[in-house]
Amino acid sequence: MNEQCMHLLDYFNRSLTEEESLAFEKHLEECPSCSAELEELNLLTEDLPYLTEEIDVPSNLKAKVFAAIDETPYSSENETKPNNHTIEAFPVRPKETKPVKRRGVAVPVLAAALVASLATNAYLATTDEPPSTEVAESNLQLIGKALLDPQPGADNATAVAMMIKDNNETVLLVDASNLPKLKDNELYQVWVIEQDTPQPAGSFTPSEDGNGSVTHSMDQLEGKWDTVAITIETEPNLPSPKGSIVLAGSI
Amino acid sequence: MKHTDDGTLYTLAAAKDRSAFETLYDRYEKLIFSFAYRLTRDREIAEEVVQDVFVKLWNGTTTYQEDKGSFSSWLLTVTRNKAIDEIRRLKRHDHEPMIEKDSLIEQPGSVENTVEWGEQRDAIRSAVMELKQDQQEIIELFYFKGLSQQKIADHCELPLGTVKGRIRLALKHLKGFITQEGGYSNE
Repeated sequence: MNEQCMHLLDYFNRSLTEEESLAFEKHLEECPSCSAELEELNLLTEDLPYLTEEIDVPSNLKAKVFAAIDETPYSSENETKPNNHTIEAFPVRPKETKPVKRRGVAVPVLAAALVASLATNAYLATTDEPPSTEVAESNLQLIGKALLDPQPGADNATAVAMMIKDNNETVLLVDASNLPKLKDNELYQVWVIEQDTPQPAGSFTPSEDGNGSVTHSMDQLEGKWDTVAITIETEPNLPSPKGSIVLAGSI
Repeated sequence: MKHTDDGTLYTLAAAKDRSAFETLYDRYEKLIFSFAYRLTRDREIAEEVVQDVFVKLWNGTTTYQEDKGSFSSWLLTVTRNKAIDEIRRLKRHDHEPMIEKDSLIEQPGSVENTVEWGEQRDAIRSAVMELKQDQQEIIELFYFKGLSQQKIADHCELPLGTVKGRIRLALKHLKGFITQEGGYSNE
């Protein structure tokens, strides 16, 4: 028994610093008693999660998780990599099972959450199937994404535009926040722009607190879109914008 | 795919078989979400935990080895690790949780009948009921609250050096009762 042996519980409960944690892992390799105790602790606690009462899962959680997965750098392998080399692909050493001090909230998590909420909307807007249907959700693919920048006069406004392919249909999804308040007869119009040629791609009126989103099927539109913009108009789907630009960004 | 065992599904998922991954997800979503909620007492954080666990599983940041035990135990461990990291992070920025409010045995939160681990839970619950109150408490503080040894010592007014022994004894008693209750063990 040495000083390190005192750290077993705190290692199990991840309350050691990263440095202490690494030192304890080194100790584990040399101390059969600690590694046996750790194994015992794992064994003795393995039933405890099942004390949990069942609670209802949010209906959009699965869509969020799968949207986050589509954002990971590995997702493109899904289409190209065959599945018949599973043994080679099976990783050898665990990383995360060893408790290591976390390093704060990663920005990608927030980005993934944002994408997830958007993709969920897209999913709900583009299919009649319930969210539990496996096939429909798996086929969501993010083709392009743009963060739209506020133009003068709409300084706090933010929006994300995403081009999503769902089965064979492509939709443009725009989700905006902190939009300036509209007059009674006004609406927000989304445009997709190829070079200097805009085409209307959905309109919406925001909620009281300035949030709004719209999905628009792109199947009727053709072009190599370089920009997505939002303007204030008095009529939806005009051939070209008449009002002022609130947000714009390249996609 | 629905009847394929976890280990095979995991191997396929690790090789980026999306359908296998999805089957695993569907199989464990409710358990993982419920467990994450049990640990964090916050639906939003529980969602974040579920997302983190499955994204890391998919992209290979966390990897399961079959010789280290069942997939479900591994998944639950990963979930707990993430959840207690979150609890700790929130505590740092926010406030201490009200420990007294929670007990090891919960009242059922819903009237739903479609349980997946209901029988198992009942067996473990009965076993927990056989433990002394202070043993139930120390398990709650250690396993579900993820408190440090020092905090458990402070909370239970125990000398630091005796905490590990107390926890081990409580867990061993519990395991003994669970085995008596109907032989539920994990896998």
